[in-house]
Amino acid sequence: MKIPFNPWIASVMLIALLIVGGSFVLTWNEAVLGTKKEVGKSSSESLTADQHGVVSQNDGVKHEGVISKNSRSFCDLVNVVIPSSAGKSVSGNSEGAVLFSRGVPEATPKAPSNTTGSNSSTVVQAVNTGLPSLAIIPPQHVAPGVFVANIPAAFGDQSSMGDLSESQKEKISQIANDFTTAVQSSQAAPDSPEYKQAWDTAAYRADEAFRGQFGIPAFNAMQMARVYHP
Amino acid sequence: MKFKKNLLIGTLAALSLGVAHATTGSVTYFSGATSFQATTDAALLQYATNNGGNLVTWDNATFGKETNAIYTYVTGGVTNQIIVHWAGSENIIQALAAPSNNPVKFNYYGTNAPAGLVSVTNATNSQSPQAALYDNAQGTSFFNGNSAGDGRTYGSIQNDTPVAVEGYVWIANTNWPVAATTNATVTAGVSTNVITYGNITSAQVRELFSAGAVPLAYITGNAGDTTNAVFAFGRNIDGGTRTVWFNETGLGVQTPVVQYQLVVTNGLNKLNLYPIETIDGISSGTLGNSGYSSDGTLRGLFTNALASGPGIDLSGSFVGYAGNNYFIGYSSTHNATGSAGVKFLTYNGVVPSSANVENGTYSGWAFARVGESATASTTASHGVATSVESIIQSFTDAQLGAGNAKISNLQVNRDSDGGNIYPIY
Repeated sequence: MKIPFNPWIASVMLIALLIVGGSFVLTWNEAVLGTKKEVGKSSSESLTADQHGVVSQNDGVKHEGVISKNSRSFCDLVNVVIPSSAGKSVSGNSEGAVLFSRGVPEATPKAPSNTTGSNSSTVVQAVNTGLPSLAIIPPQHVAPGVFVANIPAAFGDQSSMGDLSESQKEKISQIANDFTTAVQSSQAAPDSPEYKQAWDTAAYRADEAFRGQFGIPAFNAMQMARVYHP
Repeated sequence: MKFKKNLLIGTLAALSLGVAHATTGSVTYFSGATSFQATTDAALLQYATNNGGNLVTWDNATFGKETNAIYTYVTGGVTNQIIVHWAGSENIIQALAAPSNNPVKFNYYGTNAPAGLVSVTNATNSQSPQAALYDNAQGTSFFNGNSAGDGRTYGSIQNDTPVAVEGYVWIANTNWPVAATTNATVTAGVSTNVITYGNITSAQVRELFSAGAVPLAYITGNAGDTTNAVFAFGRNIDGGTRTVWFNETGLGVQTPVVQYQLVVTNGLNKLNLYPIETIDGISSGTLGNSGYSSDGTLRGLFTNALASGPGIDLSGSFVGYAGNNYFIGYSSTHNATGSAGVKFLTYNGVVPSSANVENGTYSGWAFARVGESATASTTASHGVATSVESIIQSFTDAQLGAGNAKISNLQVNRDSDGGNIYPIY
């Protein structure tokens, strides 16, 4: 895969790296293609134990709790931002953190200027489950580690839908891929309003597609399954 | 109306006698979804006659209901052909998007087919369509990427263009017991009365098609209807009508449903769970999940009344109700309008009409679209496709037919079949 050099992105990456002060794992996330090739590994601290975090669903309610390293909720299906202890990045799996967008290692999303707190977070992804995996960073616009992004139902735990045929699983993967492609094609920086807008638009369409294909009961089940309850 | 159509056919037949049918010009293999056939046929005929050609071959005495047809048009003194095959919307999307090394083909008439009204058995020319009209978006289709599970990876339909809004309606059979309501609607200054017989909600649709049958009281709200039954009838997976409605109601395109099949044996109407069958290469998987092959076939059943109570012969484990039996199904609005025995229902409390589609209150609609094959289209077929697009887009609401709407009259929009409807004014 050819990686175009973008000075602006490179600058953001460099600044972010300096802010965090930690080293990053540089891993190609090719989960969409069904493979994951790790090209580097230097996470300061892998998630070997359950991790505390706060998740805000699109209902505006913050769900605070523990993200299990063995979780089957959306947290192990997607890249999520987990507040790390000072200067430490964390990983959602023992294989090391995963952090990518458009084939380029991404900088840690910065908190917007109107938020408080240090931006000591990074992006992690759990082990490759074989289920749709989100290869991009959810936007965070409230505070570091607080997600206001709607994670599309296509990234939820499919076990909540009962037995699925291979073609149904493929359809879910297709919806997930379309979402990822749409966000990536925005070419926006992960901490920008444009990125958030691209995310929200793509998530809206992904959920419409999921609801249309699998019906309201399945959509609701997937939404419930991805809400983490401590 | 039928008399006029047959008169038109007769006139066209007389004209076609003097037309040299064999051609040295281009040939476009066009296909269209049956639920929007009447409008598309009108557009093809207009294109042909505007360009020195005509309808020359068809296989149904009623124009707009044929399975195959040939139109001609003239460019630069050369006669060209548009050879048309009508099919289900999903089958059309499948054929347009199939890879060239594993194509999907229809049986068209050959370029030297005889003129006039001929038998459908003459259609043995196996070809992939180069351009087509379909009534659900590829994004909601089974045939998108490799999710169909039939070994093909489907590409994207080229130049996918919405050309009109197609309305759909819930219908009940002839002895449906709910009283008629006459609803005055005005579309583009034209007053029309739409007669409806009660209502069905999206939640009721989900329950009815999940269970296959419910007490009539669940639909009507009348306590006296608890011993009467309503059965679900519908299309197989080939139907764009099914795809659109299952999207719209939140039932889910991929969700297996329970639909019944009407079988008349010794004068007795018997209901079977619709048998498992493979359509467009996809197995329906479970009893009841398949259905009828066209809106017209399905709609034709609605002139039937079912025997009451124990008089109905039910297959499967369903235990019949003691009272009367009825059935509900779905169709494109235009196709069902004026059909004997078909009783329209309002949907989520709204009357199915062009006006209510345009103002956003009626949500049972999708865009009819014209698109082209990524692998088989030619300069000539592209020209036919874009011309048909322009003609249909120029049609008035009246020309598009009851329940359909001109896109430029829409005060709302939606981004996908069954997606949210939002205002654009």
